[in-house]
Amino acid sequence: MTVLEERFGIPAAYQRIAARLMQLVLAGIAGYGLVSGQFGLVVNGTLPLLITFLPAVLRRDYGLPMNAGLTLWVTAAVFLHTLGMVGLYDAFGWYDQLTHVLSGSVVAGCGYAVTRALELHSDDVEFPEEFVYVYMFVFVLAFGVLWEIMEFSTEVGARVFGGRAYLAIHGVRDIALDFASNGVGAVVVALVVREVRTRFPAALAREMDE
Amino acid sequence: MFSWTRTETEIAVSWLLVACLVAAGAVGLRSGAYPMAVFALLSAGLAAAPAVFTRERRATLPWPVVGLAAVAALGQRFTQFDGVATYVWVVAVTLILVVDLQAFTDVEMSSRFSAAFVTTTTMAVGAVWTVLRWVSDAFFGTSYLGGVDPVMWELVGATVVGVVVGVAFEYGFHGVIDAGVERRLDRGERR
Repeated sequence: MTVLEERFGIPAAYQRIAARLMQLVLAGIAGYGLVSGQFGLVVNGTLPLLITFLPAVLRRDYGLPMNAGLTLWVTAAVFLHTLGMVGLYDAFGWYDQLTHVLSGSVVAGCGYAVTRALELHSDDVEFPEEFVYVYMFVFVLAFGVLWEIMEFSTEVGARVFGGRAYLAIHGVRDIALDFASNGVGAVVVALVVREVRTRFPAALAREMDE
Repeated sequence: MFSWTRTETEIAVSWLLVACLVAAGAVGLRSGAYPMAVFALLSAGLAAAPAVFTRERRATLPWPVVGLAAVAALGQRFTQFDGVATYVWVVAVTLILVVDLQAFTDVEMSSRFSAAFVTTTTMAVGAVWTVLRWVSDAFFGTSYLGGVDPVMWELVGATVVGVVVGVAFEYGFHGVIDAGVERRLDRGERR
C-alpha cells in the first residue's frame, strides 16, 4: 500500500518499472562518461545509482519496510538531480528548485524515520507528535546547510588545487532559494506524514509493535 | 560547574540578563541595527516565555543560558568578532529553546539527542537567517549578504559553533541544566 497506489491508482508494478528505468538511465550516463572520459559524468551517474539501491539494501539487511513507492521516491529525487547535472540545471532556472523540493522531501522522510526510531527504541527520548513535524523541518534545513558546505568545499578545493568544481554554487540567490525549496519539501512531507498517520491508525499500531 | 543553591539570586540574575537583552534590542532598534535587535528581542522573548505562559515569576531559565545570549549581544556591539558573536547568539537562542522545551513541554531528550538538536537547529537557523536576509536584500533594497564566500563561511562557522556547543552540551552542560530543571519541577514551580 503506497500513497501513489491509494490516491492515484498507479499499481506498484508500474512504480517498480519506473524506478528501474531511471536506474538504467543513470547507469547509461555513468557508462557514457566512462567511455568518453568525462569523470564528472561517471561520478554523477554512479553515486546516485548507488543511492537508489539503498532502500532495497535496508529492506534486505535490516528488515525495514520499504515499499515500491518509497524506492521510486528516492530514485526520482537522485535521478532528477543527475539530469540536472547533465544540463537541465543550466537550461532551466526553476529546475534547481524542483530538485531541491524533492530531495528536501526525501531528507525529511529520513529525518522522520530517525526521530521515530529514536523515540520508539529509547526510553530517554520522548516527543509529542507536533514536535516531530517541526523537527523534520529543522533537520532538512540543517542537512541543506551541510549540502551547501559540501558544494562550497568542492569549490574551495578547486580554487586551492586548481581544476573545476563538480558542484558549483551560482550565487547568494541560489543558496537562499535552495534552502527555501528544501523547506518547502519538508513541509509537504510533514503534511503527508501527518495525513497518513491520522488516516491509517492501523499502520501506526504496526509501527509501534516493531 | 554552576551553583544551584542561591535560587533567588539566580532568578534575579536571570531576569536582569533578560532586561539587558531587551535593552540591547531597544538600542539596536534605535541605531538601525535591525539584525541585532531581532536576535536580542527574540532571545529575550524565548527566555521570558515560560514565565509569561505559566504566570510564574520563578520560571526563568538557568542564568548561564541567558548569559550566553547576553555575552553574544555585548560581543556583537563592542568587539570586532561580529560573525562569531552572531553564531554564539544563534547557539544561545537554541539552548534557550532546548531548555524551554525540556522544562516546560512534554518533550524529553536524551543528552545525545539534545546535542544533535542544538547542532542541527543552529545550522537550520543559519539557513533561515540567510533566506530572510536574502529576501530583505532582494525586495527591500538592503545589502546584508555580501556574496557567496562570506555567506558560506558564515554557514561553516555556524556549523562549527553548533558542533562545539553541542558536544560541550552533551558532556557538561546537560546534566547541570537537567538538575536545575528537576529541582524546579520537584518544588511544583512548573505551574
